[in-house]
Amino acid sequence: MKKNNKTQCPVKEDLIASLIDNEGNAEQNETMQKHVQTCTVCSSLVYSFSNTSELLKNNRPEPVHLSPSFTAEVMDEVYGVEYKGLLDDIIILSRKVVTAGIMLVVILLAFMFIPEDAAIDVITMDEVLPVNNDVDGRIFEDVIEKEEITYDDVVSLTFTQR
Amino acid sequence: MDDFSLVRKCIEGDADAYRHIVDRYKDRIARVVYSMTESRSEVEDLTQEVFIKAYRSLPRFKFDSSLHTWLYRIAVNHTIDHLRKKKLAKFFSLDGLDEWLLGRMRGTSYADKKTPEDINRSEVKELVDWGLSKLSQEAKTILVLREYEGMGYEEIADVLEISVPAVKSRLFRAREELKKILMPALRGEI
Repeated sequence: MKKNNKTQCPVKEDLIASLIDNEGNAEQNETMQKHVQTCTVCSSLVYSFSNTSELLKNNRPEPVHLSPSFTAEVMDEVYGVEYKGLLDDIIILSRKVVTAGIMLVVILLAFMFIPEDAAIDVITMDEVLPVNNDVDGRIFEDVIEKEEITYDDVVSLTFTQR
Repeated sequence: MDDFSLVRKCIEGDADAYRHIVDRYKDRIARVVYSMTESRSEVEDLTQEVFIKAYRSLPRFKFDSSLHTWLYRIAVNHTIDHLRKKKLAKFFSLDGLDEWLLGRMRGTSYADKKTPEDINRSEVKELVDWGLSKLSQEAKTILVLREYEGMGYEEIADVLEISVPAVKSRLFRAREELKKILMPALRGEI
């Protein structure tokens, strides 16, 4: 390559970048090195860019010290609970199991202690009569005498009618 | 465990896997965020936001690029968005200039120093920081990735979503820009 004393050199800028960063292929960099020895424009650029690059590398920012709770805070935000790792998962799972167990026991106890004749649902006679009268026109007097009948009474009536 | 296995576990709902990812990359991401913002007070919040954003984007993670370049991409884009919104870049440039002028008024001149050894390390650091703060965001980002993070051209291209020739071209322009800023300061012309 001929010596270039102009202020501009036709050599592409990406070749200079590759040479400084040692990123291009070996053959390309070797050709570029030979060119730099003869071209004042390129040699000046390579020199100043290399210096700038070294200046930056030698003055990298000090490490940033994040707070010790950084990861826990991210996990808290991401998973919506305070997260401390696998142990925390186990604690959460245990709590769920215990809560489900307690609910099951309460339901079982409720069934055991509810009296059998307890009026679960009270229906007025006016609601029942039209239904009963529709079945073969039969009226169940023992039921009609009551002011109020239970849901069980209605079920037994229907069963008897069938 | 390698990065891809951790990502797969995260997508399956394994919280512990994401904790490993955060622990593995938090310092590097924080350093990039700091290099771009020059604000230690904002690093923690921004880095947290990067990891929250990354977690929400995990189902869209393509296994054709590395996790660390993917995280860097989120960090760079998030920080640029932040700087744009608050117009911090402009503010910091002015602050940097003020500090520089104050330094000059106190008699700090790099041109007065006879040799590079005469310039003490903190002064050089101050000069470099000031020079970077004067750069355009595009130039600053690519120099941070190359010089501070030591990334190769392919990695930078992946992070910035540009071609390798575009990386070379941007790096050249960024170095030229920085040289133009630093040279007058070193000669004592500022």
